Amino acid sequence: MKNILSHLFRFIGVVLIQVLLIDQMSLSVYVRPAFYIYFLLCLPVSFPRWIELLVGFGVGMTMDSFSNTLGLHAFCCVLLSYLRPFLIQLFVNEEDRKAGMTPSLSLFGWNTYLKFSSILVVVHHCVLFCLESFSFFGFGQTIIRIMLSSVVCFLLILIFEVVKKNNP
Amino acid sequence: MRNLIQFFLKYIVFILFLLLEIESFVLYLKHHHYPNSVFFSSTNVVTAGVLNVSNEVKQFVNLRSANSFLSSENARLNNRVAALEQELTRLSRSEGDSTFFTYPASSPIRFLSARVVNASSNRVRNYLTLDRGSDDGVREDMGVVSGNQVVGIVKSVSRHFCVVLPLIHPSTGVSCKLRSNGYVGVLRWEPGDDSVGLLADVGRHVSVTRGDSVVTSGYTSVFPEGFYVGRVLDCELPTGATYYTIQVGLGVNYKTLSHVEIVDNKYYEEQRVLEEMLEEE
Repeated sequence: MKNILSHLFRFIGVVLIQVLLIDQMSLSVYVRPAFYIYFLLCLPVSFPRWIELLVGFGVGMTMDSFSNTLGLHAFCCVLLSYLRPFLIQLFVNEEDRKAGMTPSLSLFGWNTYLKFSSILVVVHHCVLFCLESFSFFGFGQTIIRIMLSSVVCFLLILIFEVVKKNNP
Repeated sequence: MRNLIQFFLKYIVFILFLLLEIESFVLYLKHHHYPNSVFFSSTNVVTAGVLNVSNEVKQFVNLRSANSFLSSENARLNNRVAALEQELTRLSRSEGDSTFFTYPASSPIRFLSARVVNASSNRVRNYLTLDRGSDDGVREDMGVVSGNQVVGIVKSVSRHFCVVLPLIHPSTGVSCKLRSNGYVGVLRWEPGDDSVGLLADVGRHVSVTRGDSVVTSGYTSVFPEGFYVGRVLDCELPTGATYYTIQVGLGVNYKTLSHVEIVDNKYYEEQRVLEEMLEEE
């Protein structure tokens, strides 16, 4: 129960950061990091997979409600939630996948965590921006958007992880 | 039968994944052009409430520029009042017989002031959310202006909020004309720069000059005639093309927009019904 509450608070926090800070700053046409996926990255390793998919769908629909793009973020989040367990299986051995563990820098170590989060961030932004533009017209623009946004999003996640590691 | 159940249990995650992906993709396709669901959009009470909070902070920060805008707007309106009063006295003096001239006391156009609750300008499909809804008499396809500048068109309405397609949305098309010679075209926008629109359908025989103003044509009853859209930045005539591609620097700045007016045309429905009757025949 306590666990669910803490997840809920983290969810609200991440959504507020995304909607009230990042989206409102409107930095540039090319820099639109989808920082909210940090919440999905941080779900416990032992989470049942079907719940994880539903949570991903819910998070996506929430973001869609804010940005008036029904289904766009939901599609990307469900894909992310589907891929995440595979990556955890790939990078983390059986013993480390203890119940209740959440993927973090202190648990995974730099090398694994960088690989784990960068792959998911890049996949998410690729699908998000390709689906958003919905045509190959202006594909160069989409590529730049994917690269810059992924880098900024990745850096934001790392900052949060480093702070978390130093203040457990 | 048992095999079937086992099969489903084995692949339940994958099946759920496929179902959710198909569901969201269908939703996305359905709402691709503009949002028409009230619940899952920024007109929903919760989302609009959250966005409202952020907007209040932003408004406080922008008070200075909002103030100067409002005071210049005030001055412009005062001038207009003075000019109209002068006109009125001139007309009422010259006409002894009042049957020829009746001052239009009830203009068909009414303005409703609204506050911008949420706005995006750096996406492929941008939207504005305003704090007026069907309770205030807002309906679909009303025009939205800021001062004398065109902002966009209302596209979906809930009780207390409405979503506006701004000029910087690929599905928006506003009938405009060049101020100097009155030739009409359609203003569109392509994703990228949020300050440049494209004016299409102006024929090659027209002489287009840089710096000319682009204003609304008044052909549709969404906007009255003469509202400022922007200025011609650049025009080119591709070889073999019959129409110019004219780049228009948009007048309105979506990044700092905070107060707008919704245009309510009393005769909108009448004109629409009349025009649709012709199309059906």
